[in-house]
Amino acid sequence: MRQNIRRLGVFFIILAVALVLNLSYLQVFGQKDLVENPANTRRLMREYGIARGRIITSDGQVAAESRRTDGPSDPFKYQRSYPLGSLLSHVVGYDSPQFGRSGLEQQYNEYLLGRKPFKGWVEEMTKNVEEGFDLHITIDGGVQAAAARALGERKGAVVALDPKTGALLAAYSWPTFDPNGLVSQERDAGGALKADALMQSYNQNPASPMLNRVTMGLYAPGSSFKVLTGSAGIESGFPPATTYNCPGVWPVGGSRVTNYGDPPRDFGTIDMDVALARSVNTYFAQLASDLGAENLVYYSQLFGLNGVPPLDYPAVAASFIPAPEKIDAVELAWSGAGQGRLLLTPLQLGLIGCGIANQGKIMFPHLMRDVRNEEGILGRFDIGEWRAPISAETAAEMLEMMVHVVEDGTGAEAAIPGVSVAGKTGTAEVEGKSPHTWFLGIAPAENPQVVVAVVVENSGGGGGSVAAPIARQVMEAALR
Amino acid sequence: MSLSPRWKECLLLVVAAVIPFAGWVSVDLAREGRMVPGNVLYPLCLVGMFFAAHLVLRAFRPGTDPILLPLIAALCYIGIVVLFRLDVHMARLQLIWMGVGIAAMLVLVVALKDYRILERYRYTLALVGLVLLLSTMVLGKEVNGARLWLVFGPLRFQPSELAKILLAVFFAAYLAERKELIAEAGRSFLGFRLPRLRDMGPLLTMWALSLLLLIFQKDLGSSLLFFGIFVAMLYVATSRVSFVVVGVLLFVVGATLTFFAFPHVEERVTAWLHPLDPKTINDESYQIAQSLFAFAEGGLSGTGLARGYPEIIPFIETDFAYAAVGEELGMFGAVVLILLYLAFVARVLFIALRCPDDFGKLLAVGLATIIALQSFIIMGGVTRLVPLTGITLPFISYGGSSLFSNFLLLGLLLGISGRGREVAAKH
Repeated sequence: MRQNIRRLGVFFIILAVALVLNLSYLQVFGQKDLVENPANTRRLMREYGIARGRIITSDGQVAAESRRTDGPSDPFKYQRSYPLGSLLSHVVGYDSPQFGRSGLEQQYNEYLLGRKPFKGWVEEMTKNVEEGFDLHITIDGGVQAAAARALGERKGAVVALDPKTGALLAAYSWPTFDPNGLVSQERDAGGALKADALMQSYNQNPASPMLNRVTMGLYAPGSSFKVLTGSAGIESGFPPATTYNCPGVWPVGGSRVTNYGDPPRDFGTIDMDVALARSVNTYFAQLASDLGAENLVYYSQLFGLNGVPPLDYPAVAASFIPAPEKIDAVELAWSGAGQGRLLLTPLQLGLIGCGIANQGKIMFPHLMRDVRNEEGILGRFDIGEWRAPISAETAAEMLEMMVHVVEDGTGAEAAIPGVSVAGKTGTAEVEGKSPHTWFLGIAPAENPQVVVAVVVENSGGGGGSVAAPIARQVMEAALR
Repeated sequence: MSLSPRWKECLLLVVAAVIPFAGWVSVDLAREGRMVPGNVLYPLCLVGMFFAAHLVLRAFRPGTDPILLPLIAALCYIGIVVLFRLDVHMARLQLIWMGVGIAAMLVLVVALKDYRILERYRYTLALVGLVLLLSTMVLGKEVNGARLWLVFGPLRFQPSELAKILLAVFFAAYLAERKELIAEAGRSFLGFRLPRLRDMGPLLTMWALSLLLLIFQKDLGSSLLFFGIFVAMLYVATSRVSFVVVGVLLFVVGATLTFFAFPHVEERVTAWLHPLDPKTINDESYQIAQSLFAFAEGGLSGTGLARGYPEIIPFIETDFAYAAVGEELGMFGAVVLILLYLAFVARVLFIALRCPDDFGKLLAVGLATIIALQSFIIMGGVTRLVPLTGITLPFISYGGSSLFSNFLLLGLLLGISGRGREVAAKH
């Protein structure tokens, strides 16, 4: 009998080992699949059981807050609410149990949930009510509203930056979406979530309202790119005084570059200052040809092209210039004038403007100012230099020429009485459609406080008449 | 260093007493952000009860085993801490039941000087067990699809919890008397030696009756448990592997029949095979899926007490208590629980080995099997190792009758261990 009892003991040990092995699968090796199973509401209950922090603009407006749900039938304790609605929807994003998160809601999720920054073991252990931290952002509600008003219901994007810090003061993209509709838990008579239908309509809309055109919209830059060609030229031994004979049509590599006008206008022999003010294609085509593709691509990449700008935002596209060996003489000439295969985001053009406005240095672009709770600031964004593509002298010379664009050139509509505004227009030809219009503005030129980049899709007209007035209104709001 | 048994017990109880105090601090901090002074009564009462039991044993039965009580104390402590976290009111009731259970255990240990008296009353006890099982058929109340409860005003009693012990006593007494006959006499059939009907008859009758009753009451967990006890004791008594083989075959046949006979068994099996099927995950397999999610949520170290969401699982306080442990105390806590049960069962088997008489040996084996299988069935059930059958986790799940019966079981084991030691001391 003793032997049998021992055998029974061994059998019980085997059962225990089986239990432990099974646990190690559930709790360690197979854990991830179970935690991420869509039917597992634990993560959602945990996250929507937290009074998520608010998102607050630099002028103190609440852009996002958590509201306690009242009914016992509500599956979650808190729900997100966006008092500014679609004005800031691309920047702030949404936070939905069904669709997940986007924008700053996604970028700073851990902070808004109060999980970061770590406050120490004692505090973590004794925390009873879970409360998130408030995110204070660099966006100014007033500048943002001015951008929305100025752009109106035209497809396009406006971004305003503080060149000294890299802070985004405004970032508006139209069409927008309704974040409150997306996070709503309301159901229709048939029991279907209303937000589902809304999300579906956004996804099917050819105008892509969910797309943040500021950071994700890629457009041919047109003449606005000439500030980069010019800066690269000055850095490479072609000072502003460099003159070229600029006929209406400049033949190159079996093809030709033409100026605007019908017939294309002949400017004679002019320097860079006049060429920029009048946006003369044949000048920058010749300058780019003399610079060479290597140089043009080199400086483009110094300004940040072909890389994702380090904005603290989850959806940022890299702007594009082809590799130098893939650019032939014709494309090189056209690229100097901003045509060709070049693609820029409004953010990237704004960053180029920041380099020119801030003595050749581009600061890290950012949306977060700091994270706080009622006790004070828990962490802030470290302002720092991202890159320095050009010298302070080059930047000053380019800035001065850009002042002339507004004073006495294509950008006249960006002028603000009593303020010296620098700028550059752009009109990018689009196959088969009316052109995109651009404007890059800097104000005040003697001590830049704001850089604005505007793009309006297929607007017709020119950068000077369509985009420049939008930039003016945003700059005015920022300087106020 | 050689401590006397009772000092060993005292020392181990002191070590185990850390659990309820740590649990109290942890739950209060997580739930209230501060210590609620009144709540210290819970750990104090708990620890007090077990030390009182220790003192009674010291006074009346100093020769009993010193390891069993601290192991059970540790299990009870974890159980109350988890319950305190899930539902303070239930924790209070459980505490009262624990007091009643410990008192009953002490009465049994002190009054029943020699457990071998039970051998004489084997048929009476078996009859009481059957009547208990039968009683729910007549007087029982259906709760959650199964008719397992006797209700007396505010009190509910689950007779199968007590019946399992009574039947183990009967099996032990019967087998101690006739094991040789069962093993050796009889004809050979297809290579198997069939025992004579008159040797096996009463045993098989009792067993079949109880099994049938349980099946008709849809108490599949208990019927699996009864079956396991029977096979384990029969094997230990007769050394006949063929009985185990036949038993397992019988079980497979029975299980297949119930699968086709009862729709809810089929449901359970489907939920076991496909717990995460999106079609059933919110209905039939909701419980098991949520239980698996709870274990996954816990990971290695757990969410911490009162920091998980175990309350979304229905019956978390009873059948699914182990899922709450897995979620909030993690794999560490869940494995500690397995090890505590294993240590307890190993200790009981050790007592069985040392016990001088066959009845005591077999009874200890039967009772060890009850704890081992019952904890395995439910721990394996909620972790999807085996199909889920509703049954309590001994000493942890909320429930008065379960707690009461299990303390009686502990009392019997202490009694058996006492005699073993006393006989060993004489030699």
